[in-house]
Amino acid sequence: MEHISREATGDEPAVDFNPETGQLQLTGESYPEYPGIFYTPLIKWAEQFITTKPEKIELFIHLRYFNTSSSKCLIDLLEILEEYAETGGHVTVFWHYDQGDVDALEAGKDLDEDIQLHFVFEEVK
Amino acid sequence: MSIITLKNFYQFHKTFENSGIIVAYKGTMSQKGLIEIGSVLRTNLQANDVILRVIKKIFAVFVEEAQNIMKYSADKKKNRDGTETGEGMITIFKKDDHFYIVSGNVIKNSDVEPLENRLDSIASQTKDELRQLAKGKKFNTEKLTGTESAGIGFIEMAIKADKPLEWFFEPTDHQHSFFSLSIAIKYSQES
Repeated sequence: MEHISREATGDEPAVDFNPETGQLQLTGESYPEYPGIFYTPLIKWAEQFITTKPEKIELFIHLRYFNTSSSKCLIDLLEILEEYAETGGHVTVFWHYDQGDVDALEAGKDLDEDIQLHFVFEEVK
Repeated sequence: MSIITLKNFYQFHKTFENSGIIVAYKGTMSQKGLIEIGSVLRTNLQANDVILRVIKKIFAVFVEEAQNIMKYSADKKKNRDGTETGEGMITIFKKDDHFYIVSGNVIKNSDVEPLENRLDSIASQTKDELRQLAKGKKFNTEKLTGTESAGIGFIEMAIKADKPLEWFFEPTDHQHSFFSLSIAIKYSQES
């Protein structure tokens, strides 16, 4: 599988999806005009990745801001991982947020409520 | 006819200043433009010692409003690459202890009533109800059609807003109206 590694742009987060380590990272801000164009390849990648039965998947999300339509795409991505967890896969979501950023923490807690995945919240400096 | 002359340009500048304008933009709204204006907005707010939490809220509302203009303005301009961008206006200003993010764009008269109903319905709900509503819409696996995805944007803005949403429709001709939307964000927030 391809190792996806992309730098952040003005409105898109940095991506590092590593099939060797099972660590997937999204870092930065996300408010593209058409988030589907950005997220669909990542969601397809995740769909394929879970068929390889990885030992574990760790998704690191550190988004300082994401717009409404990006949040829908994030949910789509999380739902793929949720599917894997339902069949016994080990999945952890590390939700990182800047020190004192209660709104980013709350956005993560909101997702945690509705997604059946293990979330770990970590404040970063 | 333009009211701007070199002689009254200072007056024009004063009008902006006295209105507490931080950023004002009128023209086609593209994603590239949004990124640039958003960056200017954040820089200006930081320079005015606005706390990060408030800057983030203002920025979030600005992005939703700007993307609504891009997608739903009935006044479209053709780009060189064949794509279309919406024309509109966004102004961010400070008055007393609130910032206001106000957007305006032309819509078809046939869209006025559905939009008014949607906004009325949002305005009648509590923040908790709106949070549940936004969640329901986001977790819905169906692809959302254009106006529905704008609907979530309005809900998210209403959740962030520190005052009830305000809007106005000004008829411009037989087929069109100018739709203005104002979102207020409080200057100081508890963190």
